[in-house]
Amino acid sequence: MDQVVSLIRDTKEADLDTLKKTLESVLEKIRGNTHGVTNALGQLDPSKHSMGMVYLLYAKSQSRDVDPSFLNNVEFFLANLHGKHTQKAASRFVQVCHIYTEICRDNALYSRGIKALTTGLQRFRPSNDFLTPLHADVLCLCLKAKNYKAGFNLIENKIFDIDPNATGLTPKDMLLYFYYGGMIYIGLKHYQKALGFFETALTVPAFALNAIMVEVYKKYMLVSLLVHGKHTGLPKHAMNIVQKHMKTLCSQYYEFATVFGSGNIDNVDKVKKSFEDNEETFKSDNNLGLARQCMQALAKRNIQKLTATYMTLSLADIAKNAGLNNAAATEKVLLRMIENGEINAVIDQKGGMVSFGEEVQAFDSPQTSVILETRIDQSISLANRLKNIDEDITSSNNYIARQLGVREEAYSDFERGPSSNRGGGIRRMFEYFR
Amino acid sequence: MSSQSGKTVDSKITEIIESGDLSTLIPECENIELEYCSDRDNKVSSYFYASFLFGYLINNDLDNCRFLWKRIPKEIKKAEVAAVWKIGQALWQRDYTETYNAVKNFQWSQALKPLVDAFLTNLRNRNLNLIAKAYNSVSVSDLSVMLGMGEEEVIQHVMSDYVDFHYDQQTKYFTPNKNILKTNETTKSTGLDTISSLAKKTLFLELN
Repeated sequence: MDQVVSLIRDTKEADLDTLKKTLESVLEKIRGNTHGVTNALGQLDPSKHSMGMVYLLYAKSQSRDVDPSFLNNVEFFLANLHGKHTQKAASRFVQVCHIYTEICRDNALYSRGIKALTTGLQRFRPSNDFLTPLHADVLCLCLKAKNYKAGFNLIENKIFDIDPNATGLTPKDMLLYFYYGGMIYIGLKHYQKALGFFETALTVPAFALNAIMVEVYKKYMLVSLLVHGKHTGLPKHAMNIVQKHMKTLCSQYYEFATVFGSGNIDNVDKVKKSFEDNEETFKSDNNLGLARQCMQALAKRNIQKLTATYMTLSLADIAKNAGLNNAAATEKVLLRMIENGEINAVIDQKGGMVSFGEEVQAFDSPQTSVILETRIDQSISLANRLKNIDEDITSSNNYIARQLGVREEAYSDFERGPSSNRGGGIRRMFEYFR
Repeated sequence: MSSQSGKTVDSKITEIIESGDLSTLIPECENIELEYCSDRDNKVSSYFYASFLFGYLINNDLDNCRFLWKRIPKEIKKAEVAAVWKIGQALWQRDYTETYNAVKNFQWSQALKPLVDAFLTNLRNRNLNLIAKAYNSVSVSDLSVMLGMGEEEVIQHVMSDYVDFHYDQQTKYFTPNKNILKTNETTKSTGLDTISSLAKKTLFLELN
């Protein structure tokens, strides 16, 4: 044990790769020595010996019953770790964090975990743009703790990059991130954003179906009913296998969505019936709340449809057409819609009439210009990002080699002769650049 | 980890409430919740949670308010904290009669009074704005429900200068003035900031 500690202490930054190999090989041995590991952890400094500590923590996490000091060890490490060094041992580090999360989850130590992992995540990731496996862990705890706000703050920070080598990210982590993230958006009623998250999860390249994706798909269907009023189908760039099998796996959702989408105004009863038929499924999938939201949205949607046909309509007529019980209930719904800006209408209580107006927005308020300005800024930063990526790609070795390779083949086809000599290749390269 | 004691948390909240600038209340509370309550030995008072809930209510952020209520420890869910949530529940149902009753029927402690007042003012203003937007004519009784005032009081309140509704004595209906209460005009930064941001944008357009 002492040898390991002194090895960790004495290793210079340049030799970390060798240290990693050594540690991997002794892992089995130090695993049994829980007491020694705990002692050793106390002697090391996370800002200098991140790599070694990751392995010690891992060894500790693997013992049968994890001792309570493990949580403190991990928290101390998360708060002080050295990002670059830890990235070199990313996969072990991530395993430690997953175990830590599980312990927090099972013992209801949510806010403790959220705090520690958030700090660790910030120190660990190469830059703000990166998705790490810790993201999903934090979101899971946020959902458990019902602390949606904390999760919301995390997912509002846009992800632009992933790097499995530096962060140990696996496809599962990524799917979970978008699944949990979408759930947080749903909880806070940002349905449009939730839809975006789910869509990303469903369009990752995949060669096999994944249970997470199936769950995502169920929620995706319901949310798209909320946002678009019908199921719009997957985007074209989703993998074939996803497109093909989801229909059979989520047949009840399909049925509900189809009835809902075909929703002519006289269809309300059918939708209600379909909802009741599938209520058990929704319930067992924990989607009942979401499905109920859809039912509420149905009335709203029908009212919105009325605006396309009528200029004025009595409250009683609206109630009848939208499948609402009475005029008073309709007025409440209308009021809520007006408040949320979902409809443009004016109620005349004296006559019990509602007049639907056109969108009257002059776009001359200060708010408009503020929105415009932030949008411009967003576009500019996005454009810059794209430009950088584009430059990276055009100057990357792989890309150039590929490009030239293809060219070369075409060229040799054209000449119908073997072109194995090197000089020819270089000559052609020059030609290509000319 | 954190060296604050329960007392200083309370006094921090009091400080914010007394300063009158409630915009910092929510971020501060969220921060305290994560930083301070992450240690199980640290206990915070019901006063903290009551203010926290009120903070969300004042912003009309019912979703977050509801989730906060769900995660408040059981032993604190009583007295004042429960009373605040009762308001939240009523608002969730859009039951204004119940909302105002919930406010009225509880003896709020002196420290929370400013929050109660801020909540009432915000709610009334919000509802007035909504009425102005949504109605061509609205009955006195409905107005009095939404504003939580007696009918006489309502007439006085909305006929005042800054609201200026038209009232028809005979039919007892109001015609809202559509141009009321253009609140929170966002102020734009002016001067050098604007110029530099404009310059940046022009540069971007030129380069690309």
